[in-house]
Amino acid sequence: MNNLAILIRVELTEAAKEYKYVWLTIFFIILGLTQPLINMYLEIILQQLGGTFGVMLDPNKPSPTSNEIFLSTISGQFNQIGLVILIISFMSLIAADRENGMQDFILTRPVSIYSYVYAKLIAHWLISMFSILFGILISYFYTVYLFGSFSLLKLISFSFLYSLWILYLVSLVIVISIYIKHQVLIAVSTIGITFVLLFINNFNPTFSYLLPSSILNVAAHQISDAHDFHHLSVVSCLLFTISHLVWATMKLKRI
Amino acid sequence: MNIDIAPLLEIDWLQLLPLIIPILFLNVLLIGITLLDWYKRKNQIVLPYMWLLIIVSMQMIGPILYLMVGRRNVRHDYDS
Repeated sequence: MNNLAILIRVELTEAAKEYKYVWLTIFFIILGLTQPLINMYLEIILQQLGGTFGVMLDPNKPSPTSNEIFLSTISGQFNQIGLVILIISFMSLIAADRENGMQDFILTRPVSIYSYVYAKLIAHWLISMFSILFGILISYFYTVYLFGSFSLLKLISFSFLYSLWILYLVSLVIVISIYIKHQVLIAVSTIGITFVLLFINNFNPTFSYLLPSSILNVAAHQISDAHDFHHLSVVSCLLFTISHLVWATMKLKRI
Repeated sequence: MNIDIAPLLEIDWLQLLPLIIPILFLNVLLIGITLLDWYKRKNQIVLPYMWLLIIVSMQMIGPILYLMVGRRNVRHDYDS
């Protein structure tokens, strides 16, 4: 276990030297800010910047509730451009180690493959959750400030379930980077797979609880009740994560 | 590319101010950090002035691209 703690600390200090905590946090805060602000000031933006005279929003339109705005921030910003940037920041996770020979160096020491892989998983999950939690919190405060409140407990259970989805993403990147050597190809294929997963999840809700991405439905259900969900989704997401890890360690052992 | 600045002068900036300030501040902070790092590594990275253009011209995506890709692409001795 001592090796695991040391390897995690190595990853965390490496991220600090690349200012990863700073820029990833700023990026997610900007993402979290934009959606509620645009929703609030849509009418002013249209009037001032549209260049379209005579266009107006229906004054009788139902005003969106705060939890709807928050969910649209997550599904519209965090799960699209946020996901892309997050995966691009993960792409050098194992590939860079392999390129500069660090992987061989570590694995020829008395360090087990398990602690190597788990250190990667836990460290990158911690880094990304640090930034995403800041983004979620700022987005929550802006949504509450502009649209009215919803309970903080809902937010906490939502972010716990969302963090499991991020954990799955890191394990997916680990598995893919064992098979593909080139960093850009790792990023592209991971982004492709995750978007296919998200698309199938939205497209066909009947069997989607077998997919890891369906945990987002459970997470969304924590905030607004209007979503189809199945509690098995949490189990399937965790199962997928564990199976990816087992797969990765088996493959690394054979090499 | 749209270079007509006349509509910019007609905007009522005061009305948009609460919208713009936090986003503007965070973007300036991000670009500032990136430029500081670029200045330190100017003599080491590949194509430094192209990266400067990317950082300054592409809002939010440019600095992040530099911090993820650009600052790792270090020039080798046999290139020069």
